[in-house]
Amino acid sequence: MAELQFDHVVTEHYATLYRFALSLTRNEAESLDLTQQTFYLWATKGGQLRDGSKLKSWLCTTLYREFLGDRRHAQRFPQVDISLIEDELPPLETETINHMDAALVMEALLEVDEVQRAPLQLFYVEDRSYLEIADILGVPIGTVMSRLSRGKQQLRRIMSEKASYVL
Amino acid sequence: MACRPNGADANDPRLAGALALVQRDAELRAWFEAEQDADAAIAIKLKAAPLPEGLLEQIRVGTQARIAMWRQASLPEVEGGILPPGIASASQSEFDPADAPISAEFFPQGWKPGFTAAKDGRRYSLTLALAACFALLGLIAALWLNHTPNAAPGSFAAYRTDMAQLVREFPKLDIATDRLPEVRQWLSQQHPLMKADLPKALEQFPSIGCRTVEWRGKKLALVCFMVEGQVVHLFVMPRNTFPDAGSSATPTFANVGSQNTASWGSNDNQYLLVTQADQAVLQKLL
Repeated sequence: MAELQFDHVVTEHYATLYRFALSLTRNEAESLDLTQQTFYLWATKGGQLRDGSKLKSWLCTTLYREFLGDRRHAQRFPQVDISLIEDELPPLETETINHMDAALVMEALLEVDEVQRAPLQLFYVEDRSYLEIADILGVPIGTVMSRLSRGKQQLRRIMSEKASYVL
Repeated sequence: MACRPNGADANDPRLAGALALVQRDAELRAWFEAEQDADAAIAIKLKAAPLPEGLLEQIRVGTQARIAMWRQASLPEVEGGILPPGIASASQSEFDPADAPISAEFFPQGWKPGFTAAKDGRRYSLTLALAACFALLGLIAALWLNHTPNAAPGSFAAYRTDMAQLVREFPKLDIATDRLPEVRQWLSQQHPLMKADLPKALEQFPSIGCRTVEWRGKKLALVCFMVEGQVVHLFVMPRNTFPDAGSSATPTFANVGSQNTASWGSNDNQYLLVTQADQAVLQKLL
């Protein structure tokens, strides 16, 4: 295994982890704290990680577990499968999205319910498959699919509202 | 809906049925393509969302601070500290930098990351047993310290002990920043009596961040600094909080458990420095 240098790993993954943390906490200071704690855990306990290709997933999973540990979300958000029936997505033209400011789209994401924000962030920003998302978040595949579906509905509705004010 | 817009899921067997249906139905295909376009546009926007200025440096410094504290607490031979869970000592010959997730020079001389011990199961078990013994000894020592007659509740000595206990592990911060003007501004907002006059020698080192702490109903400020690779915590309280703290501007040094402290008064503030580093580090700052 190639030696993983601290600076290299931090530089390579800080943006990913910070954005993921922000999508979970909606708070910059907490996101910074979670990101630092994740790199700290990697530096001090990640020695068992022999496969460097799994580093990114390991970091995301660790960050999410830290988040849950901090907030004791395990009790507050029981992992129950909810209906997979999808409502129709709110209409939102690609053209409209293209004209929106990136910060405004991020703002919309941060307004999505917490339980759906994490899978959305991993799906859109990290290009993670639903299988990988299930692995990182430690929830069943069906739960990921339903959270993605409901999250997308909510995100587009919020984006539509924001776009109507701005555009 | 779980199909990524970059086409990476085209061969996923779980989605194959739905994708085949999309191909057969023109109306469904048009809808699906519009959905994928919208998803792609959202992904592009979210990936382009700006990050806070100086974020990388803040993360780097903050993480190094945590590692430095962990490292200071993990020096069994050098400092006589207690081994953290899962960490064991190993001989120099066993250390393989390729096994370390961070570069070897990041660790102090004379200390080796313990996870290399996994190469030898028996030795690993032995070191784990040793670690457990150390932990047990630590627990006994902690219990003994707790039963030792302590300073009067609410006294400066009690405050010093409690603050040293608080920062045995890296504390959560309200603001993480290596920019001192932000620390000053934050500090001055926390209490009308708290003037933002930080010790001059500390100002040359990068801050890590700051937070407020409630102690016996009193609000105080904590500012963390990185000093030559070691974490130093500065507590600031209004001076009139502790009648027994004395009025001297001359620092008083004290050892609290495994931590070194220095305290002094200046203007309206009472300062307390706490670190796991040597007292010499504190003396340099005063």
